[in-house]
Amino acid sequence: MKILICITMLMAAAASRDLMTHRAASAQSFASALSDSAPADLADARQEVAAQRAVRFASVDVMIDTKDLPLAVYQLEFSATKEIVKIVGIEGSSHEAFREAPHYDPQAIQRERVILAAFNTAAADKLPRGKVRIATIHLQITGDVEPVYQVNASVIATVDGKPIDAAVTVQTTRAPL
Amino acid sequence: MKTQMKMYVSCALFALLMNLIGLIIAGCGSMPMSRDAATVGQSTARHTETASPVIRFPLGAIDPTGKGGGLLSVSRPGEELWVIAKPVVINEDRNNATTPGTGALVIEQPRDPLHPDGEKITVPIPLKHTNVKAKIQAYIATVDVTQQFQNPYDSKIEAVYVFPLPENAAINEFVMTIGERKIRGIIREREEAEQIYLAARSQGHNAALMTQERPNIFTQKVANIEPGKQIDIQIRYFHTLAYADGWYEFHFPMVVGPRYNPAATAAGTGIGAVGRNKSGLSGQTTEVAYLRPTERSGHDISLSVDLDAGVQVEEMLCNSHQITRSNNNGRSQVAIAAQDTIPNKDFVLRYRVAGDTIKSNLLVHRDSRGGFFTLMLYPPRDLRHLPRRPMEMVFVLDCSGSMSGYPIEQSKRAIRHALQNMNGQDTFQIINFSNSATQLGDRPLAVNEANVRRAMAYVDALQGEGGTEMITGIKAAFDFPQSEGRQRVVTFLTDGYIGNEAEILGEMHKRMGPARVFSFGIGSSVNRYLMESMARVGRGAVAYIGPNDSGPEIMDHFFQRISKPALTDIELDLGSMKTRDVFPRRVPDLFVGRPVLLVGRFEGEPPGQIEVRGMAGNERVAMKVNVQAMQHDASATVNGQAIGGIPAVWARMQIQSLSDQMTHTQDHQGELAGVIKQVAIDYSLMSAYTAFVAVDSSRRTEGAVGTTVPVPVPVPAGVKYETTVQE
Repeated sequence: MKILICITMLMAAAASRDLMTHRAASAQSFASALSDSAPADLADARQEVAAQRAVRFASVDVMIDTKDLPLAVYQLEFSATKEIVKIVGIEGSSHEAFREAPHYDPQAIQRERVILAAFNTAAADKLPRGKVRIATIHLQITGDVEPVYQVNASVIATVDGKPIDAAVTVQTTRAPL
Repeated sequence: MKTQMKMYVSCALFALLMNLIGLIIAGCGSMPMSRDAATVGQSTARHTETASPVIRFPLGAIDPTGKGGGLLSVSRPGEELWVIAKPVVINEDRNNATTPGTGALVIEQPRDPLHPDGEKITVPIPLKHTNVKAKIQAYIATVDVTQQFQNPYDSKIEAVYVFPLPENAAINEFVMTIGERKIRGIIREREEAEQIYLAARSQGHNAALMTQERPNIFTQKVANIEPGKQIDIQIRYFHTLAYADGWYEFHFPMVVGPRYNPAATAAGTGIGAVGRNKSGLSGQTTEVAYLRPTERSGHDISLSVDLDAGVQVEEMLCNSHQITRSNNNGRSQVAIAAQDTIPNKDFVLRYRVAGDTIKSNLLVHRDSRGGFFTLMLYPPRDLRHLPRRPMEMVFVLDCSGSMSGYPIEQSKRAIRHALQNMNGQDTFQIINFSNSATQLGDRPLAVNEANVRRAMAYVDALQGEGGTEMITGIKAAFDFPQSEGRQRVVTFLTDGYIGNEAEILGEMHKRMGPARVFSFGIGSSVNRYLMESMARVGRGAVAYIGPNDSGPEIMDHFFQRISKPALTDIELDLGSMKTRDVFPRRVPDLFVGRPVLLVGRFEGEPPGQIEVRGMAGNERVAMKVNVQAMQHDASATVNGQAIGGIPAVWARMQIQSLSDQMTHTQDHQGELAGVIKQVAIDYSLMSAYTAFVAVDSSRRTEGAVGTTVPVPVPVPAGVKYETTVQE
């Protein structure tokens, strides 16, 4: 099942302030890199600090909207522009039923793709309905260009295996202070 | 020790130098700062305690005459001046501090160092508790370790904890928990993971990084822990249990013993052992900070084991800890008792299952990647009638400072027992080493009453002091002509507290010839990676003698083992089960009482019986061995791929096999390194070339980068701080 891909960019009002803070933080990172990372020589140190300045971190929430049906199982594939994105963490759902951080396929993640899957066989009233954040993907992004995200769902179903015609979306945010 | 002293003096001089520079820079603080000066100010304003072994400093910038010029004069207008400072500097100022930031939550009170058993100072540290939950199914353990980091200070910190795990642990899960949020860490190439972590840390994100320093030593870093906040790190690993002389053994190490780094150890490659707040002193990239005998921390440990042996457990023994035990539906639950929760010794649980039920055992697992198996192959009983060859017994005893006290007494008891039980047709030699090696005689001695009496007196006089120049022991043990017609058997008795394992193993491999090596790990927190590797390289076996174990009894098992010939040159015929990628590449020799473990990939159906062929002495033997094929619990799957133990154990043993090859070739960056890296990434495994990193990118913490705080640990039970830790 291929689900509609909807990319919602939630650039918070704090984004511009965030960018400034980011630059300030980069200046702070200068000292940090020097004292902690043991550069082999000055050139390495410069390179390292430059690299730290060039990256930023952001998170992408993966949302599933099941409308009224209880979500018991899902499997989906998330990918982002490989050249500028590195996946640095995968967080579980805001809903208790899927709070555990989902497992991922280690071979896929080398290509900055995540195949996420989880199931919960609890009673229907313990499972999420409607729009729920099912996972959050934590990313390191190089440069100021916004990556393109894509999400494909192959399984979204109820506890008795009935497919759900759900909407899958992603929302990005930059880290506020 | 002499070299370490020199290093200490060098570090102290360097620290003095850097303080001087700090003063110069501080003096510039009130001046209007140019861009150059501002840069200098930033780089020196916050030194952290993270080990930083490589230093590039424009020494020419310092005017030793004091007549002018000075540090700032080296940079021309428009140029940046970067001062890369070794973190030792700040530690000199903070040697007695208990907190990393501005405020002290606990005031250190003076205590009498001559009475370390008296009331102890409680030291606040950023590691509150470790929780260990193990589940054993057949001979594979799944272990969840949760480290609870918290910030007891009033400013932001980065916690750095150097800790041990079993040397054969296949670590494939890493989750960072912040409040109720759980973030799964990602396996990356080590350098890449370190870069991600540094960037996240410098930008104020909560982040965690786990790296491997040795197969049994790891570093956990947790960045930007805010005052009063807690971040948990959960690690999951799988490993196979050891089996020896009728007992299965589960062990969990709790503390890294203080390592000695010989003079020849390449700079920064050892494992340093320094006192609390003495970071940087050892000159090693990886350093363990130890609490003084008068100090304690609030860090404690809880550990429980859920044992499903599949058959009845007849006997259970834990000599290391007080435990509680209960049984439920054929399973045993074991936990460390509440009064024994200080993490300063290995937890060792041994159990024996019902008498005749032990037989060779095949565990299989299938998923979308194909079939994986582990085969525990027990020695055939038929070997027991065969006589053994005469032997040349060489006992090599570690008499370094860390062995001082009961470890050396345990070793001496074991050797005395061995001397009394040797065979009249054998010869023997005793070698002891610390700063150098000495030996009982210039050649192996015949086993007779006079020689044994002489040897007893020699052993009685041995004491533990000085360094651990193990290479000298290795050379002494192997570099003399072997007696004709005798099998040389070298037994090492040591705690293994050295930082140059690769060098030791490389030398051993180079020199050992046809000798066999049996290693005895002595003490409460032995370096099992070294002991296991020595036995593996030496085609022998390993045994451990803990503080409450009987050395003579374990020595008896050793004599039983070597009293019959091993089955060598083993070939296996697994019938219709087609195997590939079997590790170890060469099937180890089978000794009485010691099974071998093989892992591999397979296609086809597991057989009910396999054929084992090999040489026993000069005799060619072939025998049928019944195997129990069991499907390992593969219920936990993702995308049809198991997250269970057998694939991870297989991948881990492949890495071990490749690492052994690498040790022999002493090539650590060549093709083998690339293969290890790829296997580790494909199976999401920790290795020397990969690391786990997790970042919470959704939030930044406030303020500047936090101070780095190493987690100090107690010295292992029975080990003397004064003889092992640099102050």
